[in-house]
This record gives sequence, structure tokens and C-alpha cells, in this order.
Amino acid sequence: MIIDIHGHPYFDEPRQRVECIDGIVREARRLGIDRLALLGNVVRFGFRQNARQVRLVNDLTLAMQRRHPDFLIGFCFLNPKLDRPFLAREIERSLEGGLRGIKLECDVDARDRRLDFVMQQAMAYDVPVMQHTWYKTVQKVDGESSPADLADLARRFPKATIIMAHLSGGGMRGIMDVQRFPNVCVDTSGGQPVAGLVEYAVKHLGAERVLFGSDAPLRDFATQLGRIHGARLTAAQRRLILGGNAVRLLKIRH
Amino acid sequence: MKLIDVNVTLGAWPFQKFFEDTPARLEATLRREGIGGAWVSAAESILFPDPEVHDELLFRRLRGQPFFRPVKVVNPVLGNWRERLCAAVKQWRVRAIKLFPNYHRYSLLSDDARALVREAQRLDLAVLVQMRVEDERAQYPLMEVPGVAWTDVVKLAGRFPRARFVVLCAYYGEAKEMTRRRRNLWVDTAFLETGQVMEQVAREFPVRQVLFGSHAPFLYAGAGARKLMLARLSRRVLRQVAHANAIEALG
Repeated sequence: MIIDIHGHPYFDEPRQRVECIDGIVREARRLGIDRLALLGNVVRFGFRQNARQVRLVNDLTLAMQRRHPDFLIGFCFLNPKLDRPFLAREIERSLEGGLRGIKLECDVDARDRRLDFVMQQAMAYDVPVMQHTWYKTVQKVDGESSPADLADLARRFPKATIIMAHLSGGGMRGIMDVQRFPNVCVDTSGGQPVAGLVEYAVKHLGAERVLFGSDAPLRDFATQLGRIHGARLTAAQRRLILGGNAVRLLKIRH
Repeated sequence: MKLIDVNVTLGAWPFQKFFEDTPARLEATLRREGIGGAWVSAAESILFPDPEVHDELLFRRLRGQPFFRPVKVVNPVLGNWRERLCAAVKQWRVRAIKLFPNYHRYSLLSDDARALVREAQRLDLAVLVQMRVEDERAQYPLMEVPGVAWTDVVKLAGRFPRARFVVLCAYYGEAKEMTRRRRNLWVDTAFLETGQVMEQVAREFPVRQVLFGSHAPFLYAGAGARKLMLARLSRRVLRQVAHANAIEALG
């Protein structure tokens, strides 16, 4: 089974209609992907989205998941800066609507204590939290988390399940940052398919902590699958990364 | 469908540990991904003060290995580049040169660059321009090297309309602009990335100017190969990108 843990709808405004996900689903299926985690259009309104905007992002994710209930696994996107009553209501609405995780982007970095409430909610609902991370030499976004920031979060919440997004973004240093936190997995999405990083992640984290992700439609499904098939892995490791770990993490019955 | 890979490197790079560190390992990896031949330059020639040193080491290693076509790295700012280039053509049958203007700190619009292209044209060599080696966001912080300006590539190709320019590791927008403006310029697929990228390339680019390039071993060869081979393309377009265009551009 192949589960892509990191997908989005199209980002451009004309394609913010629920049926626009059909093309992405079709392409993913064509390439053998069985399920796709849909993380929302997390930059639709920039990086500082207000409550109305966050709701709109999640409305679309919910609608798209309803349209493809056997294929899409939606995540609830949040801006942790928003007030707690809103966050609580939005998490409840999203998870009761069938979404299965929480996605955080660049509104605050992962050291920010405003994340604490979100993490407590995630643990209460027993859902993973995926955090965008990157070590950027150039083009860093204000509020963007590094893997070291995420490591701080993982240390503070050792019982939370955390997915560190973007293996190529964090690089070797990022893997080292989270190595000693068994509650952190890393997804392989993001950037060019830099050779050697998947093997490095498997060596230092274990194959059971690495998840295939594409970052489609920003990235090409075929190329990103090629990152996993092109890496020097055993068949068992490849199976875990391509889907076995996500089945476990997202409690998918198959 | 055989692939000819126009963007391959062999050697050591300080910021990555390559598994494919010998010709045998590199060839094995590329063949496993359906690649039947590769144009290859020396990794160390990017940073080493005299590219000739590692170029020659590479050419000796590749002697008698028809899978690889040697590419000479030339820095036109250095003295004696002209004599060394002529010697490499004679001794190693080099048919292409590779330029790293951002790493070697010269402008493609400089007299040095123009002199080099003039000589390459005289010797009937293809001119490969490496736009970048890495995603700039992931570069080692003490070594920020901006990508080459695509407008400079276009201007240089315009000055030498009979020369053949192959541009490696261009981003999608850069590649689209360059191929739109110059017919004597080809781009490789290595850094072209978006959803269903090759289908989009087939719609938006002059396909005769697109070449398969993996940028191995910096990137997984398997990723580059699947980008092309799993795309929904006509057989004609696939054949063009896979190898036919490379024969036209590089010989």
C-alpha cells in the first residue's frame, strides 16, 4: 500500500473549488498511490491567516475529503496564534468531520508556547501533528520553524505524535535534531530529491520513522516516488516508508 | 526506451557523500534506472582552483568506458585555458565543455566568456552551462552561491547563434523563458519540478529543446528517470526528450 502523507489541493484561487481535487486524485491513483493526506491550501491567505480564513481552508479540505472518502485523508490546518476557544471549536469541527491530523505551517515557530494548547488537543484526540520545517540559507519566512525548533516541541510533548515535514529541507542536521525523540517521524516531501538523505534518515531514525510524502501538486508524484525507489533500501524498509508507517500512524484499516 | 543523461557528475563534493563514487558504481546506478549513456564532468572541478587537475583524473578513470562521454570544465578566467582545452579535445576526445560562472565568479557577458564560446564554436563543442548545483535554500550557509542569471544565458546564446548551449539545472520558469527565446539552447529536466511536470513541459516548451538530465549523483537518478518515464507523453515526445534531442544537441 502506498500512502502519500503530504499533499495539498491546487494553490491558485481559480482552483479553490471542490471538484478541482479530482485531477490530483486521478494522477495519484494512476501512479499507484492508494491514499493521499490532504493538508489544505495552507498559504491561500498568506502566512497569518485569521479565523475566517482558517475555516475556509478547512471547509475545502472537508468537502474534498467527502468527495473522495476512500482516498483522501484530510488534516485540520491551524494558526496557533488564534484564540483558544476558536482553536478548540475548529479542531472539534474538523476531527468530527473526519479529518485525521493537524497541520501547522509558518504562523509561529514550533518553540512558541501558543502551540501548547494545540498539542494538548492533538493528544486528547490522539491525532498526529505535522509541522512544516526547513533549514533555509535563503528565502526564510518569518515564523518558519527549523528542525531544532521542532525538537524543542517534541521534548516538551513526548507523548504527542509529530511529523516533521520536508526531509530535504531539514537535511542531515534536521535528522540529527530529532533523532533522540522517538515521537517524531519525518516525511520525505519537499525540495529536490537529494540523494542519500532517505538512507541517512533510515540509518539514524529507523525506517519506521520515515514517511513517503510528495508535496503535490507543487511537486511531481512520479519524481517524489522515484526518491523512494531510487534510494538504497531493503524491500521491507521501502514498504514501511511507502505506506506501512502511515497505516500505523493514521490508524488506517486495510 | 533508452535514456541519454546529459547531466551527470563523478567525484567528491564537500556537502554530500555520494555512494556512486567510482565509474562502476555510477554506471550501475544509472543503468538500473534505464540510462544508457551519460555526459559526465568532475565534481571537484567546481571548487578546485585548477579544474584541469580533476578533469584529467576523471578522463583517465573513464578511458575505455564507452558508457561515459567526458565533459571538460573550463574556467575562462584562468590562464592557459585555451591550450588546455585544445589538448583535451585531442587527447580525450572531449566534445563538450561545462561552465560554472557562479562558482568561478565571472559573467557570461564578459570578454572571457565570449572568448571561450568562440573557441568552443571553432572546435564544434557543445557549451554546457550549470545554472546551479544545489537548491539555493539548502546551501551550506557559509557558501551562498546564487544561480546563474537566465537572461545572461539568453544574451550569450544570442551572440553566438551557431553555438550549441545546454543549460543544466534550470528552474521551470527560467527554462521556459530561455527555450522560448533561443533555438540554439537546450535545457535539461533535472530541476524542472511541479505537478505532472513533463506533461506541462510538453504543452509549454519547444520539446525539441528539452533533454533528459538526472543531476546524479546529487539527486537520485531514479527520481529523474521516473519523472520522464512515468509521465503521460506521446511516444514521439518521450523519444525526443529521452535521447533524440541529446544527439542533436551534443552529438
